[in-house]
Amino acid sequence: MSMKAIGKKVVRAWPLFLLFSAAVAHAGQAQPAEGFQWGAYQGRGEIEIGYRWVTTAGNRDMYRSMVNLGEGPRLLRSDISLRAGYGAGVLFDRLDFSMYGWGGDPHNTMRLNLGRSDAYELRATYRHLNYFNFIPSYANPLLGAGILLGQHSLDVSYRTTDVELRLFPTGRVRPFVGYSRSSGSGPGFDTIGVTANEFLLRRDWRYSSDEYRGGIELDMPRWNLTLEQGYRRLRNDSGAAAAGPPAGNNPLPFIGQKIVLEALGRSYRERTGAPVSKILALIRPVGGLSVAGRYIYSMADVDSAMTEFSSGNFVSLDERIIYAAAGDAFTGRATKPMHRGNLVAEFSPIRRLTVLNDLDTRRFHVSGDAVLATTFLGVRPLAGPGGTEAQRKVTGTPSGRLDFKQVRNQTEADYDLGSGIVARAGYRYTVTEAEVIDRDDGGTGGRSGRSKKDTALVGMYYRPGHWMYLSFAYERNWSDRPLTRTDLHDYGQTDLDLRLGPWKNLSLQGRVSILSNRNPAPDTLLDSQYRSYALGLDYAWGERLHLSLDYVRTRISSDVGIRIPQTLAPDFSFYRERTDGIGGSFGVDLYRGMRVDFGYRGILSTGLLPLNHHQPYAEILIPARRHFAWKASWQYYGYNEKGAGFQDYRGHLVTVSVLYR
Amino acid sequence: MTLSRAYRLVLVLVAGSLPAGFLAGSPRVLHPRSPAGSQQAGGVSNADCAVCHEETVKLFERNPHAVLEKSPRFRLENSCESCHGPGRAHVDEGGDKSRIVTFREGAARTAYDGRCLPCHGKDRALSGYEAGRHARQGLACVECHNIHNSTVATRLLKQASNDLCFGCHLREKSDFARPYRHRVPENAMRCTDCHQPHGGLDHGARRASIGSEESCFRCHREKQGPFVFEHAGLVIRDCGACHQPHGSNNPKMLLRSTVRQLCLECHSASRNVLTSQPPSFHDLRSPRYQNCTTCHTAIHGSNSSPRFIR
Repeated sequence: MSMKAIGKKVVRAWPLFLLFSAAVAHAGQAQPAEGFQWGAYQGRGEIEIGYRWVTTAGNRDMYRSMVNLGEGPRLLRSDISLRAGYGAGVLFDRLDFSMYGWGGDPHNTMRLNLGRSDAYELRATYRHLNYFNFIPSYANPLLGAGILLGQHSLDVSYRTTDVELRLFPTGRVRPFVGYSRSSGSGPGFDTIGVTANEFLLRRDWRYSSDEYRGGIELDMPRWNLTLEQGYRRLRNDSGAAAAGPPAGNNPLPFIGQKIVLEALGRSYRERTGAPVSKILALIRPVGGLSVAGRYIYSMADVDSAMTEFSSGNFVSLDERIIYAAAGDAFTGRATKPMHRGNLVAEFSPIRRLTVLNDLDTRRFHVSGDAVLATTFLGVRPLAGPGGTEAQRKVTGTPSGRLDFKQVRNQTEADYDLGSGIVARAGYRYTVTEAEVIDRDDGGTGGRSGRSKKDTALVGMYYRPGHWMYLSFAYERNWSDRPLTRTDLHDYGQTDLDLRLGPWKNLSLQGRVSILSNRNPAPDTLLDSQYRSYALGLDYAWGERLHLSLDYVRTRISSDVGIRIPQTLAPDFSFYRERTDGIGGSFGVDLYRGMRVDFGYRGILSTGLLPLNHHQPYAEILIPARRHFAWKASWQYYGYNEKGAGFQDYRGHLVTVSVLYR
Repeated sequence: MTLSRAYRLVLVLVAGSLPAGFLAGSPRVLHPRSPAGSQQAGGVSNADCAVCHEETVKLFERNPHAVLEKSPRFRLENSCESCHGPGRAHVDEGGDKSRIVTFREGAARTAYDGRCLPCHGKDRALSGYEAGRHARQGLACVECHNIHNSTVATRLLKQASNDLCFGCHLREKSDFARPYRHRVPENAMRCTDCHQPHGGLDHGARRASIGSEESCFRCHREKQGPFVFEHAGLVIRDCGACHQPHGSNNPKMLLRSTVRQLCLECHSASRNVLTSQPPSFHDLRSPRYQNCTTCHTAIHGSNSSPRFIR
């Protein structure tokens, strides 16, 4: 029987299955999740431990780049919460602790939220993500030759920790301290372009960033003031070394010379420090008026050094030499002072009218200076009479500066028309100024721009009760000029959102979002449209039966005039994407807590990169003893890229686990 | 390090406020609906409420809002009324639901601002809440929070936070099923790691990094800079100029399926915009030039190459 015939039978059987499931669910008795008592604490939680088997077919590297779930025993999830009455717990009266994906999965998280009323609150998060990326078609300079090595790949571990402790010694004063750390380490592959050839480099990523912050919050009856002082530090000690064949990607000679990289070593040393100061004030002086203001000042600076030594046979067109080795020593420094201020005020002059003003301003500049010294060894002249120069030293002092200023003010008024209808209208004014100054090895250059945008805003929402919500928003923007070619320039954006809940257990939803952006300037000719339509249905019959369906249709079309670098001839960059996202899940409690869930989520896309991405799943939960249950699940990931079958993969994941609750 | 004048001023303010704050501290903060307010006049006690709502009142002991009656800061005898309003008429008329705030009414944001914001309006997390998109579209606190019967312990949410967001944001839910995405469906991340659902002073409901810069830098700090050589377009705009942060069909969550297409859309000679034109030796017929990041590997900014090649 063909897959199509099977599909038709399944579609026909679906309504019968729904009816059967509903009848079974009605007959069964759902078991409420039981909690437990631990001293003064009432507890609730679930721990799931299991074993996962994985079989894959097709491109394993693509599977790892997108899914990367592996085989073995796992702590799949753990959610525990404890609650005690006010003052009943000794060290804490509430605790929430969750863990996901421990035991070898590429994404491990741990979250802790601990507190005692009127004493303290501690929040901690730890996250480890293994970012594996090996996509044969991405930035592969050999793709045209049909060689599928991913020359740009990563296998980097990111670790993020965030801890914040807030103390409540009195009702009005709340000091707090926080610490965050983010680090990345691991190998990767990259390319280095030398003259008309490029060579494979092995990168060794190693960086860490620490953030320290502390401050105090003053909470008065009508106002609240928070003062915060923080410091961010980044250390980057990454390195790179030659990793590929010495002949590189291009075996052909260049100006009669075969370009060869025999050895390369590169090391980075970067130290960034940034003190950050923040003031936040919230004031509600009288009923109907609230004001929130914030000012942030940061002063980041980076000291960097890079050294590189390479040997082989190279050509420098700038120096018109052939050389056998080169040593680079680079030191640089950049600073970025930044000011940011916000002021949001909401005022109700009369009962039905609310006026909001939102002012946001941002101002910074980045100035960088550097000294580069390159020593060429084994030098021969590229053309002209032969020389005897064995060594040449070249120094440069490139620098750059970027200034940025932006002021944005939005004023909006809401009017309550009664019967649950609120209409609003407003105006936004944005002025952005930017100047870029490059000075590269003696050359000078600068570019600057100033853009002024006027945006009209209208909208409404209708909320007659919990059973219905309808909102509509439209904004239309005019600007005198864009700062970059693909900026939002003359655009219109429409959002429509409708939610219906005709019965308590059923909700229906529809959303439409359309963005149309144009820039008719003859050297840009930008015309882009983004349209998204979404429909959703959610039905729940208590804990016994749950059905959820959603469909999202996205259409992106973009035409931008470009210039071909070789000839400067005008051309167009076309991008088309037609994506249908389909999702659904169905769960039913069959008999005394025995539960079956299955669903599907898929992406079907045509356009410039046609592909399908299927993710069906099914799981069954069988209660064993009072707090234990068996769970078995199957999940499938299937990726199919039309015209690039070498990237396709299929993965079946079967997991058997024990659930304690 | 040289401290600028503004920075010194902030330090003085921070240092000066610490003793001032402690001196001003008082163990008792009046709840906006405390005895001076409408609550006590003709009010009913929690014990009265328990006659009919026994289970709810009992469970409330472990609810974070129990501080209203237990904490010396509030010491309310009828904390139910602090949210549900005066209950005398409701009691006298045999439990008539129309005589008390049930939070099942119109549910527009404005109907409940006066219930939740008097206490929570000054929370840091709600700073600038009024300008947030949820507030502007009239969504009330009870859309996401279930005060009495939350099945999720943290923040009294109605559902686990990602499920709650996806309940309305279907497009984003679908985006996370795309092949290249942030690991939200795997529970490695939450929507609230990047977004502040209450809105706030950062537009797009984004949760800013420590220096109030892009929320992406909360994790991708190696790309935050500053760099000696900045990629100006990225600094002037944001990460969204090249990436689709929720999920994309294109590798590296890019907006375009090929690298050259993405780059050339900005880097083509034009008057009156900040741009640059790649020099003519970039022969687009060759795959090595089609993939700009083959050479321009440090495209997010570099400390050692003005052309972002190392």
